[in-house]
Amino acid sequence: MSESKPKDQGSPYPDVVIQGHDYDGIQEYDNPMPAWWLWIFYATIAWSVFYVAALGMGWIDDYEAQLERGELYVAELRASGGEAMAVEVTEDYLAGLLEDQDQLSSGERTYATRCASCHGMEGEGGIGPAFKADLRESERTTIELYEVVRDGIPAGGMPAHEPMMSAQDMAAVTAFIETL
Amino acid sequence: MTDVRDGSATTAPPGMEEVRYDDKTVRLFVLATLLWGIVGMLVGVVIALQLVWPAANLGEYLTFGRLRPVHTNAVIFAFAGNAIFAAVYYSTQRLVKARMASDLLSKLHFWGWQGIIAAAAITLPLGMTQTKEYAELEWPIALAIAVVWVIFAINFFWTLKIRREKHLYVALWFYIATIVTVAILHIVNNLVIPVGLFKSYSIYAGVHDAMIQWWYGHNAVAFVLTTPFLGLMYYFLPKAANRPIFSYKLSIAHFWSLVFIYIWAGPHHLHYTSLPEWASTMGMVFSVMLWMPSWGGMINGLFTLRGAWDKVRRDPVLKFFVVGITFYGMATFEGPMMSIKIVNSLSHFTDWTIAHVHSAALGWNGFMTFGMIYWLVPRLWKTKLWSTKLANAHFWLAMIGILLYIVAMYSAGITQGLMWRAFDEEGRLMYTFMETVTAIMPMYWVRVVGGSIYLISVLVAAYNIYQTIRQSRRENDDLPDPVALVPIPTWRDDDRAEDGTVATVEKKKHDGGQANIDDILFAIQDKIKHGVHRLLEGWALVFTILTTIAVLIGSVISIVPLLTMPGQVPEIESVQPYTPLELEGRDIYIAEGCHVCHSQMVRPMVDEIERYGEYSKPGEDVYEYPFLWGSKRTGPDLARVGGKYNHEWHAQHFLDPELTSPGTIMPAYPWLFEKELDLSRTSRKLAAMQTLGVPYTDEEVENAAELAQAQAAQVAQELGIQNADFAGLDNKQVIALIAYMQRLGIDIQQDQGDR
Repeated sequence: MSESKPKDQGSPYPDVVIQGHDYDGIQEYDNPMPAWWLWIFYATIAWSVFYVAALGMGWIDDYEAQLERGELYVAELRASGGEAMAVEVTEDYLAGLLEDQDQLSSGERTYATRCASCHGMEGEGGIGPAFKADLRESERTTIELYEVVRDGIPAGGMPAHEPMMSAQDMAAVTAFIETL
Repeated sequence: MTDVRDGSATTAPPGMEEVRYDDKTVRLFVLATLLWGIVGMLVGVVIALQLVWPAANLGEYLTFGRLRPVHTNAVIFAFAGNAIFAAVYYSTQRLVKARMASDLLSKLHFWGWQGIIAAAAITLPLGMTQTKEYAELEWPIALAIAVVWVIFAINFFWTLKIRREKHLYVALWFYIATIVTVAILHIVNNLVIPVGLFKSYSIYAGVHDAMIQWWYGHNAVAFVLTTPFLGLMYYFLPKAANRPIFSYKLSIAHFWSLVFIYIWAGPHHLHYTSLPEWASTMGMVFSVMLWMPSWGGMINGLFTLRGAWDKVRRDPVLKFFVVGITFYGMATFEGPMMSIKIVNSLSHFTDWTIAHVHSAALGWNGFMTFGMIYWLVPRLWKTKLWSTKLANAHFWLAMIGILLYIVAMYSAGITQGLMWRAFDEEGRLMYTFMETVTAIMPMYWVRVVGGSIYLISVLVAAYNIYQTIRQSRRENDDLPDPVALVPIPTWRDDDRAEDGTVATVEKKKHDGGQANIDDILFAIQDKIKHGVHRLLEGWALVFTILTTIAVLIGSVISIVPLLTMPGQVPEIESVQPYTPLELEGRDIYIAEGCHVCHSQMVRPMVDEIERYGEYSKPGEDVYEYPFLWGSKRTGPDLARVGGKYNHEWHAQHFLDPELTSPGTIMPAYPWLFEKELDLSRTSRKLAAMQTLGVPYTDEEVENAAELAQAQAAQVAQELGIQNADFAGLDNKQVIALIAYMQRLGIDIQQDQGDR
């Protein structure tokens, strides 16, 4: 097929066809491997040796160390969470939220993502009891309701939300529920 | 070039003989490639649609969980598989100047393979699955695959045996690696204990099973979707471009480094799981080292086109090849990158993986296949391609389709991955799982569009091929086997005579004399005057054995210590086997394909622990035959779902997921409430588990059905109390599934975790 045409001497790839290599008309050049290809290959091998050694020596975090770092990061966030975390939820505090439109709409958003699936979008009930004023059966006070949100009722299938939500968010959603 | 002519016998000149190539089989494989390609991609579009529009889950047999394996199997083994066989059958005959050894074996291979595909298309929607990705087919079909593969192997190696060309060309090296390695992978990963005609349990559990599966799964990618396609490239690209291969030396270096290194890389699918970190580390570093061996193929492909770029602009065949090879280069850079643990911590379980595999499958495998088909069809059917314009249209449509698809999936994957791990300033998870799903729905729509465009492009190709074949019918009365005049090989008998020194040694021996050391050294020198590798290329058997050794080294070192060394899977005393009912529930979970969307593997990351609970421990999975960690989190992880909700929530959720989870994309499973729970095989299942080492007592095995019934009655009663609407479901499937759900992840208490 194509004849070999030796190129200018400067090229790293002289394109000389190898004699005797002819497979159904396919020929092969005797070109060297590209140097960059070879060097990157060597570099990945060297890096691999380094990585394994560094992991073994503890210079690179293993899973456990990464997890510890992650937990520390979250713990610091929580510690510096400021006001929201420091909130002490009392009957009065909750009563105050009922007047706070920002907090109520924040509570509404939380309700839609976390509560509505069991208690209904409008609080009409479902798997969980209804909240709507006319359907409501329980006579919990607002602070008692807050405690249910926080601690859950494991026997009834209601999960505790303290691990997932801040006190402020739980308070806001409690206040929102009271408006239903 | 050898002289190829049509039809009937001619008299060969002295020193030459005629070879009739079997192109009929190749034609069949090409047609099967197109047919299954369309089917596989159509199913792909359907399941993409199901993810944005749950109503597209059309009943029990056509849910996403059951159809997704149909899509992957069809595209990998039916589309790419038939394409590979077409390439192997066409090129091997010409590269070794011999007809395939046995027409009967070729026939058995073709029809056997199509039969397997048909069986897969029937059994997977029926929920018959071994669960392991790309190895879902139940044991009778897996057995048939082994048989057909062996038929293929015999036919191929027998053809090598009767070859007229002494040296094996690089394409054949890659075919050899494919045939040997796929056989090993398939057999080891499909070792199961049958408990019925279409039900079995893997003989490996938990961490071990995961390791074996991803050693298999990753190397299915390597030895079904990479090596045979490199072989395809090495034949069809220089033929189409009419240019010599860029570098023979590079072929040698990248072939051996690729087959040796690829096999180690599997554990990168299991980063941050319960797989011991050392195994994960091995998988990662070998993946990184695999970058250049993979790129060797790309370089040899693209550099072969130096001086032929004008042809690339004109010829659709070369266009497809260039883009295919470019996608190969991208995917084989991205693969090593994603195997780096910290990158993987973000990409794993997300659509990033889906983007990666589709850039490879649609780009590399798809484009290489279509390039080959456009080159082959006019030659196989002895006519011109009906429309070059349509081929170009195919090219551009497919390109747009891929780009839409992968851009959508990259952005969906990265978005969701970042949302999963986001904490707000108070240190709480920023998003619920549902919010992360809702956020990426627009990207899922784009995927449907991109996938559909790609499918349309393939339909355009099919129409073009159909018209080409019709045109061939008009022009040709029949399509006889092409006949090639090839030199009668002399190397088998007297290649020694060719090189004088060897002859001297032989002659001296023959004459009863002693060859002196110089003669022998000369003889050796003469043998390897073209390099040791050249010698190897003349020894098909030795070459095959060395390839086998190359893939076995990594396999043995990465698997055997994990399975045999003590301490790899620390025992957790509180972990107990499933009750008979839970085991039945687990089998329903498997049949419905729940594992396709839900992982059961909480990774040791602070966001996952916050979201799901304590991270998963290797010791929790010792009775998991097979493991169900999953590879994609389309829905939330379920490893710790036990006890999180009450029975009623689960029942409600299966009956109408939208009720409990507004915005969900999970389909409803109403038939779980109607179908009877089949306990006729429970005893056999427990007995199989017992054989595998699960500590069930003989009484438990014997009374399995009764035990299951008793627990079902209890669960059903509890459910009925929680909601009278769900009363009286004692012997329905949903009860077993709820029992299984409630068991997940509760055997270790949070504070007992062996941190």
